Amino acid sequence: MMKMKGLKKKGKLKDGTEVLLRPMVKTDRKQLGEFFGRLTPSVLQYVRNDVTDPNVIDRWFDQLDYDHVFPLLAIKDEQIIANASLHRVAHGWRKHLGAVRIVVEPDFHEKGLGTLMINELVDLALEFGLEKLMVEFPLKAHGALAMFKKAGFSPRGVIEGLMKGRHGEDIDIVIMVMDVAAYADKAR
Amino acid sequence: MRIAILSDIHANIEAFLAVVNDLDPRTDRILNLGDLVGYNANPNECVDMARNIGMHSIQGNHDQAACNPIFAEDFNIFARAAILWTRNNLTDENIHFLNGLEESRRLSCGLACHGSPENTASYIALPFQARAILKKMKKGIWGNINVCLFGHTHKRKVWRMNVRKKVAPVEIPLHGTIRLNDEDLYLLNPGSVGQPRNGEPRSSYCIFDTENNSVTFKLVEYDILSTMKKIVDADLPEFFAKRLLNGA
Repeated sequence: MMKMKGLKKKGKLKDGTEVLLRPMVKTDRKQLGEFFGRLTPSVLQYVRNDVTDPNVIDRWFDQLDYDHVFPLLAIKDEQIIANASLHRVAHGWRKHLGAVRIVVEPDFHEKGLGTLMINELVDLALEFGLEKLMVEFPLKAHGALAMFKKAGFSPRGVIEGLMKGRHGEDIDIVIMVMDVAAYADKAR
Repeated sequence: MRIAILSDIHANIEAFLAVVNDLDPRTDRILNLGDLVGYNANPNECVDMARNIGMHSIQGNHDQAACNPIFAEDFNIFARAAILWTRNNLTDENIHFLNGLEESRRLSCGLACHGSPENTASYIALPFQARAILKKMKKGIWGNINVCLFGHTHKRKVWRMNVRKKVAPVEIPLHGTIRLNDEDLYLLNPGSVGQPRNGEPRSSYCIFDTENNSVTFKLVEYDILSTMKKIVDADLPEFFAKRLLNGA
């Protein structure tokens, strides 16, 4: 297990709020559960795993492997306010490619927190030797689209009706990709 | 004149020593394209050695952040942790030395810089980035130069702009020589001594022979396990040790 001691940095949001960015560690189990517990069903429907099931979160912590998934947290007043992750595959044709996922607490939307975390993941992707990053999310999530564009991602495809919403409605998905080396120094 | 071109030593004294010991006695000058410190565990030893052997050094972004931690705010959390450790362990004399380095320098073999001639922390990694710098070289923005020597990416690379302004990478033989055409413009990266990222763990450097206008790339083995142990013992992120094994 990679040691995470001393790996942290402060960031400032648009309104001047200071947050701490650091990797998730084993002792964050309770706080992460509370973070997901504060999210509304409309936000939770887009989270890939069923985070309302405590066993799912337990499994994340049991299987914490930073070489496979690097989870980054944003903390304010000792509470987790955002959770982003960089997913890697060690071998094969996806070795150079990372996938990004992010969930931000609604109270902190449109404050620059997502951009702050994505920029950090872009810098980390370069450090990890990744060449490209990709992300997929609902096309109608305009805030996410703007955030990822700002970080250097560009839309490369839309797949109509690929996903289903919680009421069974079709959801169009946009796939965005970026060249890491093109934006790593600009993202800072 | 034969100039040994090194870059991104990054406080790896084992690798630095191996490269210096590998140099041909006919080497007239040693040039370092920046980042003497950061990531690994022997910053003072590397700066001392750079000074003792009279190596001409350019300032890299890690050297800059070691002198002024405000630049570390732009680093990712791993690189930031390492540079703060470096700052705490460097002697005042060595900080002073790093602080006095130039960001770029005109030499007989070309323009030497760390990231790009425009910015210490910029990357020349993708074709559009190489094309942008070569176009500016063509316009004479940095004077009449045919070659720009750069580092920062930790990957050996040669980009060429021919007389028809076509930009393309030049294939580098594993151990071999590239002859440079007088009419063409070149961007040349020797790779990294202390933290190679070409998928090849050996230290990388090159020899620029200004008389026959050729560049010879070299790979040198060093005691990686000792370097790894020092990283772990210093409580630096273990990721820095693991990556040395596969040059990633």
